[in-house]
Amino acid sequence: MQRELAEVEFVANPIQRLIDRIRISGSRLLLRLVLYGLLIDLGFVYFLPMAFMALTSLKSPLDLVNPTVHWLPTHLFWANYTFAWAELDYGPALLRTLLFVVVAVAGQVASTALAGYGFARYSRIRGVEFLFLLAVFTFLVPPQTIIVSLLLNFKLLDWMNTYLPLTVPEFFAQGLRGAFFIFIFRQAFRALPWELEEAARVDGASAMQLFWRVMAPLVQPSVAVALVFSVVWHWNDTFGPQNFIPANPEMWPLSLELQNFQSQALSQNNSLAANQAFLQHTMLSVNEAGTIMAGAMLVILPPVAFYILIQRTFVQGVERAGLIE
Amino acid sequence: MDATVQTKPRMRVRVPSSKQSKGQLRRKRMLEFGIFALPWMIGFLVFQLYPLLQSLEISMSNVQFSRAAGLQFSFVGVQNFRDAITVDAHFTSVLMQTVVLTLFQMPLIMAFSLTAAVLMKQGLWGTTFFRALFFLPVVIGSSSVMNQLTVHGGVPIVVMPRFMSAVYSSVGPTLAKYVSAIYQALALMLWRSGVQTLLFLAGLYGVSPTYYEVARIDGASAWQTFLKVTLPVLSPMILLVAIYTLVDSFTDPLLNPVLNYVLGIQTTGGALEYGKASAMEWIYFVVVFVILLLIFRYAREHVYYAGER
Repeated sequence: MQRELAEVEFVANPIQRLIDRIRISGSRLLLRLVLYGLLIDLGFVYFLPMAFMALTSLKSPLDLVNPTVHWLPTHLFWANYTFAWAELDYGPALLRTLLFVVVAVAGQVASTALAGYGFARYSRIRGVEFLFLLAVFTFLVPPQTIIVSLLLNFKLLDWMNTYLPLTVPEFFAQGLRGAFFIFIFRQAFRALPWELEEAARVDGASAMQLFWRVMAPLVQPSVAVALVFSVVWHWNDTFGPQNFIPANPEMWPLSLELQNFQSQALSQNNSLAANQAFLQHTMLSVNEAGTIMAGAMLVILPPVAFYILIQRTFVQGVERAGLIE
Repeated sequence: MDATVQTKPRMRVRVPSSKQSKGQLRRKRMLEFGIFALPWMIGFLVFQLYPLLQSLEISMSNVQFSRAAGLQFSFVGVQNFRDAITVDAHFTSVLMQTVVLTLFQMPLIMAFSLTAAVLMKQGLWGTTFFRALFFLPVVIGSSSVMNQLTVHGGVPIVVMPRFMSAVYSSVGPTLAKYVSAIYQALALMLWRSGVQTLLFLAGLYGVSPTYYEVARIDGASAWQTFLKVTLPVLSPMILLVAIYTLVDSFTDPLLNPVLNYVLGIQTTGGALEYGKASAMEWIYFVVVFVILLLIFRYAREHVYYAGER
């Protein structure tokens, strides 16, 4: 009671209130500055290599040998990009990569969401936890371990040099780190309140309706995360295409084109007397550094653009989650 | 048991003269689970279990290659496993080193990524930019070519901060070398926490604002709110991140000494060493899987799922 009175007095005193407000906003400002400092500091570690690549991709060969040019090129040398564009077969390669990635990602996210839901909401059935541990075990197995066996079997199926080995496993919740996506969805679905399921069942929803109409919309942030990872990992994967479509360059995705471009440049480089000053910074010679960096920029641009588009979904999750209560 | 208790009223509503027993309901639930998990089950049997069993078979065989007959396997039992542990001079020590290093790095990576995610959720001006920036290690880290160009190829990933020269002059070159080594290790670790940061960020956005409101009304401080609200709600995500971090460091052939070693044996030794390499991989899986099971065991009591009763 006394305390309440004191508070009333405190609020009623305008000068005190002003001082108080200033004090609060002052400490807020300080906190903000500290937070910014931390973010910028951490972001710098990520920003620098990227900035270096972007700047190097715009350097002319003359800039690359010039010891006074370290970060900024003297002029923007766009010819690197035209060369890399041609070397990567960019137009057609981009199209087929998009097509392959869209199909693979759609299959993987859909099938792993189903499996994750099953593992999350039926965990009380005996044996389900054991099956989940089996799934997690497959997450441990690097693709290098089973590649020999997969190659033998895909050869028998006559799937070699097609996109089938890279897309069909995705529809069965396997493929690139499939178990990890199952795990993402299992954790997300398991965190949804039990009352929700109960209410939907009382209203007569079938298991599929429950999944699709009630539960799936509530794990949107996890779907966004799974989409992002699946897209990026499929986009960048070289191990799969290299092993399953080695003999058909017309089908190579961008990742493999880039790898090929780089290794060709490196092998030429060995016969040339590479410039010493530049070698200290990269292992590439003057002739290729700019163009390879340009090629790398071209290859990572689409996934970065995709991420920037989809990252809003993380924030949307907040409003959605409010519906649970 | 709880499930049947909860569903009883519903059954009374929908099936008036209920002959549907507990067993029938259980069967129905199992069928539902089967539908959800069917694609995974098929995929697991065809694309994982079968190749894995073949690899296990190889690990218990002596592989020989001849022009006429191609690859030939002769069963030798556990001999390859015994060789890997007792005969091979490096395998066990490399394995131990990797395990210790990973267990040491794991909490650091997790703490860092959680901090970064919390910072990014503060609603500061420019958050979109930072969110994009923190995505770079995910894109670059998963591309072998980009990895070569950056982490392994000399793009200056670690630019020594200015204070290093001060350290250098004050403590002398020997100690400065250690400081810079630690700095480099930290920077590399930051590069490996991109996926984790994004996971935590999505997890944080999934925490219902109502919880925060309640905590605020009850007069909890920011730190208390973090400990008592954010962490428990985030705990399923923390488990996910822990497992990802563990597996990621164990399956990355570029960074993992054990896999490097095994793959090296495979490529230099050719078919002859194939059995031994497979055996080493299996020993490795079992060790990592045991660590993983321990984490799950711990998580069973400490992870909070809203969907559990």
